[in-house]
Amino acid sequence: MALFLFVPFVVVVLISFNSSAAVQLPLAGVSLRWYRQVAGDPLVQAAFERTALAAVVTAIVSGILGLTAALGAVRLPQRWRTVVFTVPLIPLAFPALLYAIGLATFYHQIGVGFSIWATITGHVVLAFPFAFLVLGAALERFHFTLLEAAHDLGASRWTSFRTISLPLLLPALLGAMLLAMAISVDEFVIAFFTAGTQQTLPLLLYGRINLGVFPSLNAIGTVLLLISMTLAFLAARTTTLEAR
Amino acid sequence: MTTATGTASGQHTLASPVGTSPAGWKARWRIRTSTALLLAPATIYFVLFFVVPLGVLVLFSFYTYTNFDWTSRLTLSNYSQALTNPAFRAFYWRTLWVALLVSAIVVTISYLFSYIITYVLPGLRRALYFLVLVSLFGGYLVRIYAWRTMLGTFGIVNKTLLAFGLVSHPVTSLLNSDTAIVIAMVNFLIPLGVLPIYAAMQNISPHLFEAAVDLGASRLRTARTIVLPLSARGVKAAFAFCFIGTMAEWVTPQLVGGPLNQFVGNAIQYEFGTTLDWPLGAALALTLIASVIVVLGLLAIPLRFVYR
Amino acid sequence: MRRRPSTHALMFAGLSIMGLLAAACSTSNSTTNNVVAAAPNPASCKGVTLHFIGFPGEDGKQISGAFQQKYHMKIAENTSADNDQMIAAIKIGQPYDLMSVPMWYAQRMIAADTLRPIDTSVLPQWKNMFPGVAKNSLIEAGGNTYGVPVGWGDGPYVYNPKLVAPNMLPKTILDLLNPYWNKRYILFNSSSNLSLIALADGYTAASGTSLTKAQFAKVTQQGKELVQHAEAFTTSYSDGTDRLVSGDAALDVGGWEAMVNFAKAKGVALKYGFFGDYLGGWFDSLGIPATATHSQCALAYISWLMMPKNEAALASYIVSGTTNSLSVPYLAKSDRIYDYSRVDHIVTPTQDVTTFPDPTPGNTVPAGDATLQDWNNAWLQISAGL
Repeated sequence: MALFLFVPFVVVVLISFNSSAAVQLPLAGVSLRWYRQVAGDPLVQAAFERTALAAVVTAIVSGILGLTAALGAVRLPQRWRTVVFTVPLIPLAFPALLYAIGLATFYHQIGVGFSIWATITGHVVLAFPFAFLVLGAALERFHFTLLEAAHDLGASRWTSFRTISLPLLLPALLGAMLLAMAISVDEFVIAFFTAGTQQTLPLLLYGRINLGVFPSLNAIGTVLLLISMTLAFLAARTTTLEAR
Repeated sequence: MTTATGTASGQHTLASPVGTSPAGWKARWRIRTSTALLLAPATIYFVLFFVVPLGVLVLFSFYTYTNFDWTSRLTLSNYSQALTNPAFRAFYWRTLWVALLVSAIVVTISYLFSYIITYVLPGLRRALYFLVLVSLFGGYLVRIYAWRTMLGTFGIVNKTLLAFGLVSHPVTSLLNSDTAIVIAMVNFLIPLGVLPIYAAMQNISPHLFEAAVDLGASRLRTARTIVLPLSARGVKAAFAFCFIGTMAEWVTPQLVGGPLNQFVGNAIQYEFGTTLDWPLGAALALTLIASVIVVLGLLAIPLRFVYR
Repeated sequence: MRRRPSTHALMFAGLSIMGLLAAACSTSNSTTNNVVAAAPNPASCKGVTLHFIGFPGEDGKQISGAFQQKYHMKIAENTSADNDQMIAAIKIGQPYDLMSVPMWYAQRMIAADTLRPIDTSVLPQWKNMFPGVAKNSLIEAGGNTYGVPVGWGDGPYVYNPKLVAPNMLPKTILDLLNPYWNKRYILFNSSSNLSLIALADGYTAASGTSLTKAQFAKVTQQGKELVQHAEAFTTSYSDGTDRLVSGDAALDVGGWEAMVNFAKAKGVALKYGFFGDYLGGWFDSLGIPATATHSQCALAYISWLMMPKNEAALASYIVSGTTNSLSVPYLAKSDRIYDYSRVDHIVTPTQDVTTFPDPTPGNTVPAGDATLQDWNNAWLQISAGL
């Protein structure tokens, strides 16, 4: 069954190497021409840079918001916890199309333009819940006894945070940020409604598809695929590493 | 990834009371301020960039539509249209049916998969789980286009079927049909289904399982009486994710669906795009959200009866 | 509950709410409906990037390299939109300087305040445009002109000759209801398909399409059957090409001659034909959206595009007829797909098109007839399967 999940990706990657312009299997021949074409395309380069920018900023902002919120939430009494841990899940369960439209309308109403930054705000809303949950779970396994010991020994709150909490939380934080990057790189619907002329790579892909499906699109898709999958994989590794 | 609302193993909080003396009050007060301060940035961000945009959408749904433009005069006509126009209802039932089907299939497959990798093949557990998780991030659009290539009349699936003599003519109804939509959606949603179910299964103490086996229960009985009830929460979450994801979908039906397979999401797009009736589009969108909540709530009731 | 939230948090929240309210109450000043006029001089546009949204090729980017180099300007195109999304993009405030204005969407775009009127008196080439497009009421409103025509054509269907028997080629769109065509044709998800049916039924006049309620009922019933037996909706001309190339469909109702070129690049030979009774053609214009940030430079660019040699290059690139009568000598022999021998009319291979009748109802229809809203709602019912 796991293989079934990857069948479309295999097809995408295979066709990107097709030597003819047909988007069909079996391949007419193997060639790197589409990759060469894509690599030399300035629009693709620009979109790639924007996607990278969005991913990094999304990761940083979600990381900070997730960390502060998780640190705050862990101190709450039990009955507030259930609420606080369910509410951030709402954007994830919320249909992306509707949120994207709402966000775009909101920006239009307050007269703010559309740009990659508008898209980033939307991406953070999607990525933050993941960061929050991952860090919240990490904090639950946290050894508060260590902190109490440091406190007893006279360390200030800030020092104990810096020298004990932060290093222990680092893997989870890193994992959460990598996850946020993966989400942002892959995201299409919000970017569609808010990026305006500053297209991200998925958006460029969608536009190019309207010009006709060529294996060059598969090349772009393969690149995107590899990037997000690697990010997700690294994220999973770092978060479970800490668990051990 | 374990669910954060899980068991309370080793759970400490710094909110433990430090006595009722004035010194205690002061300490509690300091803790509460710092808690509030820590929660503030995320809360403000959430309100500003999630709640407020939704508020704007709600406001829009009450605007009046005239001749490809809209005025801020408030009206309920958009909602009455959304609820009474037979076209929207037809779109809605059509989407609902596919969403229930897709969710049922995904939950079943995810459950079997999670069960197998947790209890039957624990050695491969990490690897397979990673594999599934990573596939979630492989891209959205190009994946759907891959299905278009595969399911077409001259696509790889038909070529294989013909080569093995399973059919004498290519099966033309694979693409541009409900079948294609279901296949593509299931392929996309399985990781989302596996995540919560797998997490819930991890939280079941292996001791319970071992105890049942020691007491002589068959594997099937154990699965039914222990694993199923305790992973029910994961099943509910998985179903909810798949259901919501399918109900709001529009790209998949547009690319691999037939002309009579379009979803509510496509109708919403039609209103936002072709007729420029944004107020109606917003009303439709909010009606969709409300109905999804209602349906999920209705489905949870019988589950609650069965599993107390 | 927290006894007293931190004062910092309160202040921040309060300030942001006030800021929101202030911003929400102020009107957005990013759109304007002023006429774009004043002698456009591209020399003053150094370093400007013009943003275009619309159909591939109509921005002239590929043929205006010399212009871009000389005036240090760039053209950035966004072709990810279809008609509806273009309008939505402008309505939502996305800033574009140039936009494709398809003939049958022009009135809609104007009514939605997405286009700025253009002062054609500052365009030296305007007097040379074919009157069939330049003096066309479809791109006019309130005495102003809202677009500069760049190309025109007819409305063929495109098909894959390997999958269609020559004697089964349809003569009207209603021929597609023959069982031979079941699930073998594709069409746009648009109410303008109803106009092809109206034409087949003989309900359309040269002045446009307006149907009585009785006629409309019959047309919608036929439309319903047409959709039920279609294989799929296409989202664009290239999407249609892809579906024909892959063999999932044999005929695309909404075709364009350029699709033959698209398919040739993929090694498949397509052909086009005409629904014999099809009266009208189409023309596309370049418009300046209400959200344009460089409207003067956009107009200067358009003015340059209209020069005879440039218009010829543009029209050839988008496989269309040219709109400037002085461009005809500059067309390569192979690009003269239409008969330009008559200057005051524009002629297509099948008929003499003089007024480009609107396939959908205009803004006002005779009382009792079906309005555009009725058409759109009817199409919605059809695609809902009702």
